[in-house]
Amino acid sequence: MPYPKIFFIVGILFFFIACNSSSPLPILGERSGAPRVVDGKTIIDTIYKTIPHFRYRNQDSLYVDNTNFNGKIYVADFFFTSCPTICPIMEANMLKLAGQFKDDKNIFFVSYTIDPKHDSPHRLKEYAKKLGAEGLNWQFLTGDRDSTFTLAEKGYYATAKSDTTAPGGFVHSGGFILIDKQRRIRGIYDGTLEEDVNKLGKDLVILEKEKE
Amino acid sequence: MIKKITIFSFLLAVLGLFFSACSDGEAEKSQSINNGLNLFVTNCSACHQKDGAGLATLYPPLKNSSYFKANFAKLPCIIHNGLKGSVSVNGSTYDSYMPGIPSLSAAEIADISNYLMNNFNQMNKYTTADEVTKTLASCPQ
Repeated sequence: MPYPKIFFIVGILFFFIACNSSSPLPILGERSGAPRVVDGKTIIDTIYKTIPHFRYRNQDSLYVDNTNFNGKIYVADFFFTSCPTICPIMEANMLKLAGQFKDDKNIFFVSYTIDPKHDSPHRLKEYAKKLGAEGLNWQFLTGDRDSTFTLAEKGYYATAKSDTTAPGGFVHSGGFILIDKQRRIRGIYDGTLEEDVNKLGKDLVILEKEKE
Repeated sequence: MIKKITIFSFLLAVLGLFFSACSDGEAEKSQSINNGLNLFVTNCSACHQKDGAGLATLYPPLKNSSYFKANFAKLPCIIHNGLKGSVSVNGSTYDSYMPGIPSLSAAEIADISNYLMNNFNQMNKYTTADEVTKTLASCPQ
């Protein structure tokens, strides 16, 4: 009988198509349920963790806050310009990504300094120029140090704190955090590892195609 | 007959010693360069990159570098104390601050220097821990 054979072949085809399409990115962070009643039935909406409010000055001394990124996807990291260890690698990798997406007005890159005492807007501007980051959708932000540490740890799940024994005086993770258009965390990558950065490049494309 | 054999074996021994002495020198040099490669990757490549090409106008190249070739004598002081101020390398200007690494020993600085001089700049020059120690004693403050 030909029919079962056809179903089998079609089934296999569907299997391959399903496996080859990219799976959606996870939504990371704590979530809670918020019940509401619709037509007498209780529905639980999931409330996802979002990046808290922030307000910083950028390399042009202009104030930037969450609203600048409304409806945009962005990649965030924490660094400081005089960092001798992981930052050069991270920023070189961020530069590659930012260059890849420079014509995409929906994708931004945000680097927060954890050394605002030395990294003034002017200093960040000089750094951005030397790095070749001018003209890219890349914001270098500076603001209150302790708020930045808190924002890093609680907001972005990235470590950042002072440590006089560490080279440069700060300890921080090399994390690149991917934020979607609704300010939710969709991925955390090691900005010092090429494989992670490559994956992030692919995930940015997936995220952009995602329907809200 | 015995005399000939004795002279011959004596000459052979001298020749052997000569060659082994030479190859010991070569072995030392390549060991230094090998050490230098590992030290370079650990201590310098984050900024100067593994291939020594530098990054944009933020970190200057160390490979085929005009500045390096003109200033290699200062290398121990630069590695130990860092470098501030504007430098010109291969036609581009760099004006960032390089932190020094005072924890590196004279031998380690010699190894890194040998790696940079030979593998990155084809200079066929070799320095030693003793030479580095002497240079470090008179670094500009």
